[in-house]
Amino acid sequence: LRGPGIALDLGAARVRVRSTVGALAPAFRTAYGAFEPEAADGVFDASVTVHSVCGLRAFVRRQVELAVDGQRLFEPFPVSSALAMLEWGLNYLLANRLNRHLLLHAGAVERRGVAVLLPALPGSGKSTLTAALVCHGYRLLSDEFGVVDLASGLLLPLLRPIGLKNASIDVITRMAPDVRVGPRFTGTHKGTVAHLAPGRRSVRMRHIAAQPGIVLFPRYDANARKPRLETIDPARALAKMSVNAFNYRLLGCAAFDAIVGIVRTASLHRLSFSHVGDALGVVDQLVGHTEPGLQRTGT
Amino acid sequence: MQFALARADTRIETLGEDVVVFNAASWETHLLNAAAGAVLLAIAERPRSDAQLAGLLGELLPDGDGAAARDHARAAVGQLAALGLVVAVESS
Repeated sequence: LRGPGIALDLGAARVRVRSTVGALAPAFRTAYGAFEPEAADGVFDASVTVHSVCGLRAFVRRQVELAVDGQRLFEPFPVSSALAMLEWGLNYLLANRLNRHLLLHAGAVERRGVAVLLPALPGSGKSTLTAALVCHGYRLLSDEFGVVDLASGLLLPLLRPIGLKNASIDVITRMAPDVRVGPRFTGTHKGTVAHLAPGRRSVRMRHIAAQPGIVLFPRYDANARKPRLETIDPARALAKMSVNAFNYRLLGCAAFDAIVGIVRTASLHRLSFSHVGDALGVVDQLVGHTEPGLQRTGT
Repeated sequence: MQFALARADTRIETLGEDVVVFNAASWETHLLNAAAGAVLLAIAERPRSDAQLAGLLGELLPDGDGAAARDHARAAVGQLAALGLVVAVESS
């Protein structure tokens, strides 16, 4: 990560990461170990540098900060949370810069050529369900961003670690003890955070887009005795997705057309669940009843 | 007087029984109720008068109540105009 840093081809975006902070390297290796690092040249959607904070603060507590184009992005973080800071920084940058695509706040996975889009508000269990599906054999397309190509309407992979928070970390590690979950960062503004690394298969297939066959609005409900699946109509799905998108109002008509395309062709559901394991069976059944559609992207 | 689409680039889509609109003036997306949806779809075909819109809604109302249809049409046009989706034009 020193010097020119390394480039990562995430699928729908390419980023460069540089760091002079040795403590970041092991966590970064866990989170991005499935990627082949590339020479840090060419064009990037985001280029970031993690470096130590100098001055009085450094004597009190070792801290790091994230710089973008020479500007500090956030207040400094403890050095032990360097990866968490990097991930939030990349989220912020990609949400603001990747406007050639429609960006939904959503997880996205694929199995048998059927892409499942999981748009949701924070706290709905989106990342937990996305991670559980990946541990259950689904290909990860993305977490945090459901990336929709405006021309084709296909979902583009954007491979990043899945950010797990608090109780969901143990839920996933109990479910799949062999998965690569990075260090736990405690005391962040979101509580304890850890990152599930994308697997080699998902990374290898990061230029293979998928037709969104299912749109599933997940909702964690502690009182749900069993998972409840409801069909929702296309107009309500469109309304929810337009509110859920990062850049809907920026893209305007192109975003409207893209979402109309999805809600016309995908099956549309709301899923309430309290146990993520139960939700997997519901998603499996939906996928089993959906026609597949995969396409290699031009990037 | 008739009512016409305010902008030709307004996107109107029928999704199942609902009508959704991308408002090219405000960049807002609207989910219309049945009356407003029917009125907007009709106006998108060609400019319509009050009477034509009332007649259209009269066909959709189960009891064919003319007075109620006029009220619904007037209310729908008012809502659509307030959103900047339709404008009043001189009859051709």
